[in-house]
Amino acid sequence: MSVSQPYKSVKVDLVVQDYMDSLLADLFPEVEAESVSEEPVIELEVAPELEVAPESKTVPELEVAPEPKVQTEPKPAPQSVAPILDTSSPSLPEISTQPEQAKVVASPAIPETILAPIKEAVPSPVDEEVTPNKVSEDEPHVEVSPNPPQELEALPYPNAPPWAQQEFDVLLFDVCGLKLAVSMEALGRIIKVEHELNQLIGRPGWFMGAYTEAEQSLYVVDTAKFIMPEKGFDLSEVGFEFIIQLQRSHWTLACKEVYSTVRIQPDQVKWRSTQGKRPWLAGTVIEHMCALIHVDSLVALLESENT
Amino acid sequence: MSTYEAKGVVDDPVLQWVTFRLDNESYGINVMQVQEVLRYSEIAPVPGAPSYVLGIINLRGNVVTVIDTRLRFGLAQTETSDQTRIVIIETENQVVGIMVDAVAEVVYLRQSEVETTPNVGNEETAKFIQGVCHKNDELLILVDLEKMMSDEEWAELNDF
Repeated sequence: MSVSQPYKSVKVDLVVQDYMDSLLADLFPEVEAESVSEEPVIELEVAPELEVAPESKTVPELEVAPEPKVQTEPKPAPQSVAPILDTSSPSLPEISTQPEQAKVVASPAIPETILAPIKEAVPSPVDEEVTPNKVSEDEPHVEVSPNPPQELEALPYPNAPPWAQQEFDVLLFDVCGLKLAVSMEALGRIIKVEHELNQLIGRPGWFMGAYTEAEQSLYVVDTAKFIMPEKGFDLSEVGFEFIIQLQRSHWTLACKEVYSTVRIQPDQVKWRSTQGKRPWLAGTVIEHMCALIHVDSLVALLESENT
Repeated sequence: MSTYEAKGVVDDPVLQWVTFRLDNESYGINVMQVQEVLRYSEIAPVPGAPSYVLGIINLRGNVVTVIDTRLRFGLAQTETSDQTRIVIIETENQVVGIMVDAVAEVVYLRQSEVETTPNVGNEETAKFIQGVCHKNDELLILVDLEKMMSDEEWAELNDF
């Protein structure tokens, strides 16, 4: 272990920028998906009825969406689509006549950016003849439950953990140029590393070893290797000075530098709506350009990590 | 059995562990599996033996296979020194020697003092560790000798 070695001569800024970009891309999948998903949505719905609108394959057709045709059609829309109409377009008066369950779908859990293309696509003439089965198979939004749990509805920030529903404090720290934040509530201790780690054989590369503190064994994670293995950082070479205990578990994150604590408002965080491939990531605080760690998920991931 | 069961400590037995050094870490093996500790002596290589077998020694007329513990544990190789020892152990009904950097002492540990280690990684060597314990301000890594080799490997050692 080299506790105080200087940083490797790598373009940390670029690497970290790349990484932040990828985190953001991960957080805003809808932005990328919007352009891509529009086509499949249209194609899938248009396919069965080419006779109706040969030109409907094109994107502009979506803009015709708010056409009154839907209004005049009392025909029941597919169940999965109806709720979306309800939430999205206040311009459609008949939406209010939809059954009660449609209102429930107006959950804030559905990002507006995801809803947008659907809103537009649904009222198109093509959609009227789409069978409900077809829509439910093809629509990605079918996954959104029309009846979300009651407690989620009550939360102002459904994607945020319970402790983040109000303002909360986080500790900022640096790992190879990437700024990470961990909520004070989930923070165990910050320990300055003053002696060597014990090496345990047969452990993965991100497992740096055991650190004994007050007769307790703490297991040190190479934070860089674990959360951004593709970047090729190695804290054993780069050096680290602190370990941050996660809750009261045995797990600690190695880091080079610990900054201060800052108070975060829930609306400052771009919360992650899905766990995806980075379950440890709760969201991103744009103002501080840092990734907020979901400690519960990270600890669970460390416990189950088998690679 | 070297426990204090006779003293009524049945629920939390005390075990004795022989400690040895390997790559600056302290390891412990159950004293009941240790027959004796030898100074390093010449080891006769065995052609065709697995890489983790250093060779054989003559122990009072008996042939004993010596295992390269560093290699088995995935540690870097090093030169032997005056402190190098061959610990003769008996496990899986076999007597083998394991070469270590140094042998330190025998310590007493209560079962309750032994902590489990996180079960992470796919490496076979991770299974060698049955727990850790803090003793004399350092971490003692307790080795499960029976898991040091598979049944097939133990059987293979019989052939030397």
